[in-house]
Amino acid sequence: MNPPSKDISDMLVAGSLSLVVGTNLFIGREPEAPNDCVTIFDTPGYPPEMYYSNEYRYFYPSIQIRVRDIEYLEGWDLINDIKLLLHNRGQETWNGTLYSAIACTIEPALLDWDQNNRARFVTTFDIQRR
Amino acid sequence: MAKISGMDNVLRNLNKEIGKMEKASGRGLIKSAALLRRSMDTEAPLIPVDFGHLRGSWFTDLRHYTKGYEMRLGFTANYAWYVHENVGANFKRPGAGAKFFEAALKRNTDKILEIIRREAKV
Repeated sequence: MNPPSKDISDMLVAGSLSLVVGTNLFIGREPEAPNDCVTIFDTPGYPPEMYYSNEYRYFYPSIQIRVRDIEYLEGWDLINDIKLLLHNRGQETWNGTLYSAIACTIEPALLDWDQNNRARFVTTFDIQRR
Repeated sequence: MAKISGMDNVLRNLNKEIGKMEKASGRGLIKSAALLRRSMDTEAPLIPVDFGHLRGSWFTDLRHYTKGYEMRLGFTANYAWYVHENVGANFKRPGAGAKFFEAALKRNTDKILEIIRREAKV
């Protein structure tokens, strides 16, 4: 089972947003360059479902997606497109993991202007998968 | 025709018990807030601390309305949201991390509901 960030990056790549892993789409660590990029972080989720058997598994992870862009409006457009692409998706299998539900739980918002004067936006998604 | 007596007493006692439940629910909310606050200082991600202003700005506000209790809780430091959402930042305090409040809420949801249920039990 991949970290959620990996499978979500595959969804974004397939989502015709012109995102390419390692070029303008990153996982876990936001690089210094390029200026305009998307980074996916694995963040704390709800505890997994408890069963009295190891056979049944159901997880509730979370991710944060961060968009950085020199242009405020372009950055906001991209993070909003990402929200529209992922929010309310479900019943899809990616890399052998069934994603039952993906929901945006924190609306895209401006985090800050970084030291290089680039706007950084964040949004959070709660996920259910097994 | 059969006559039922003592209804006034039943209603009075019922209202008394409902009143007790309401008070107990407020107590459950206060205990839940204490659990959350403690959890953010004992289980990672902990509240990031630099000078301690953010950590010290924790507040709980319990209000009683006619329809029941309402509790607001959080941090009043104006940069709290920035620190909370700054995933990947290197914080000074070992074990500290972004999403410290959200994580505490998520891992304690069941405990909170149980505390409120237990307190509200007549």
